[in-house]
Amino acid sequence: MTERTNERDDLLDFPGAGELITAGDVAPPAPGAVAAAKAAVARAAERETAVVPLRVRVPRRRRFLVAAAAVAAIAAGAVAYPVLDVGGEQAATASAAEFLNDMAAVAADAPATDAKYWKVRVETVNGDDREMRTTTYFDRAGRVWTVDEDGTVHEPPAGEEGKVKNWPVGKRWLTWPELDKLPTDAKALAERFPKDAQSRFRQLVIMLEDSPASPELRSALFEVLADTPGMELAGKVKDSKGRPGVAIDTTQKATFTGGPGKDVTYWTTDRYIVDPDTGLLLESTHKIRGQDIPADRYTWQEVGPADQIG
Amino acid sequence: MTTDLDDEELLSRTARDPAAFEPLVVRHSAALHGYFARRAPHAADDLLAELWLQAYAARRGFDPARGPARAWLFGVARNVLSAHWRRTARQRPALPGDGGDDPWEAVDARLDAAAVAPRLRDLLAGLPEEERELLLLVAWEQLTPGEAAAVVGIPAGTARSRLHRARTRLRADAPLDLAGDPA
Repeated sequence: MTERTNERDDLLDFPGAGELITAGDVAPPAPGAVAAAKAAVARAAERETAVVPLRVRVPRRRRFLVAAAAVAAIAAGAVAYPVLDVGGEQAATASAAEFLNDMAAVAADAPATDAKYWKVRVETVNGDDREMRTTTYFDRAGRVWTVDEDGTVHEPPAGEEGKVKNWPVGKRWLTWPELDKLPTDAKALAERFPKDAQSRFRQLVIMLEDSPASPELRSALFEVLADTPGMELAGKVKDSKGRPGVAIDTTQKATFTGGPGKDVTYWTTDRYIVDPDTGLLLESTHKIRGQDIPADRYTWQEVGPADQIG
Repeated sequence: MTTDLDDEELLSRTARDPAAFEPLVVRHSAALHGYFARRAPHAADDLLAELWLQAYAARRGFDPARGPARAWLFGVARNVLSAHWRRTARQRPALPGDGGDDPWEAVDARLDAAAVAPRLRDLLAGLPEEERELLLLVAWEQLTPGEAAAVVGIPAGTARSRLHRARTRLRADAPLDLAGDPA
């Protein structure tokens, strides 16, 4: 203990160290927070003993069936181009790919726009902000106006500082006009996105969520998504607002290091609910396996062109 | 009584006996909650629950030969916090290169609120991210340099030399600026 204290004192021997240490003072957790953690672990322990055999058996069978279906579909020429298996991961299920290709056709039929602004109204729920509704408008220069619930409009900062709205594509962040220059052929478009399946998936859905991609680009994005590994069609569902849609799930393995040689793995499931009539994303949720409620939720209440702000 | 056992024995036992996990939650929640409260104050309760779920799921991966359970738990906490920052990145303005997981912005807001001298904040902001993180783990979480090294995932000797380097940087120029008047 003395050694611990001495070494710590030695390292913290610099002007202002006392202030720094004091700035770290925090109140102890509320008893409810610790009780909630204990209860969550207890539930996880119960679930572990109750469902492990089922969880192990079912996915294995499905993986086999899916792989067989995908191979058969390619062999029969039933898909336009091969279902990729990026990074050795499981390809999108044949049914998920079929649905996403259907959405490519739906998106292609949407009307084009030359509106001045793009409006995004989204409800977000997460541990940090709890529940929040945000309405924003952005223009082709990337300026973003935020409109409060009472109609107050917040102007973007002047000059370059205010031009912040863009979307990741590969290693670049593209503006609205740059999106319009992306190829709308799926194969050429896929080249622009990361090869790594998880990064590619993430970038594709960010763009499908709130970007003003043209109908042709949006259609190609769905086609690329159909070829990206790891998605399963969960079927017809309703989102948190009761709107009907079709859910696509993707379960990803996340690894972190708890120190040298202490890599541990956990699983997350993201669900994307798509409106089959429009190809618009209605909602996305992110869950960590073992938890009952989503870690976060984005509900897209309105995404589309606007001629004026407010 | 499992509560008489030390952390490492408890963690080893939890592989077969899930009930042995609970004393760990009781023992370490205050320190781990503090870690989150200093870096993501509005999400600390949720992150605490998430941390324990992940630690529980990963408990078989704990190896006492590689360090104490306390350091392992902070390592899990660090990753839970990183994931939280990445997950909420879309809440922040989309700037090129954003998507990092350094909680410095929140830490600096805390230092500002506690009226820590601007010069010290500037010096801390100028430290490499890893040095700053090691320093805060020692100052706030009261970890030894060896434990802080295990949390960040670097060898203990490397952590010690980085901490000494950080201290040197924090001493440099400081008397002049912090005292305001060298005379």
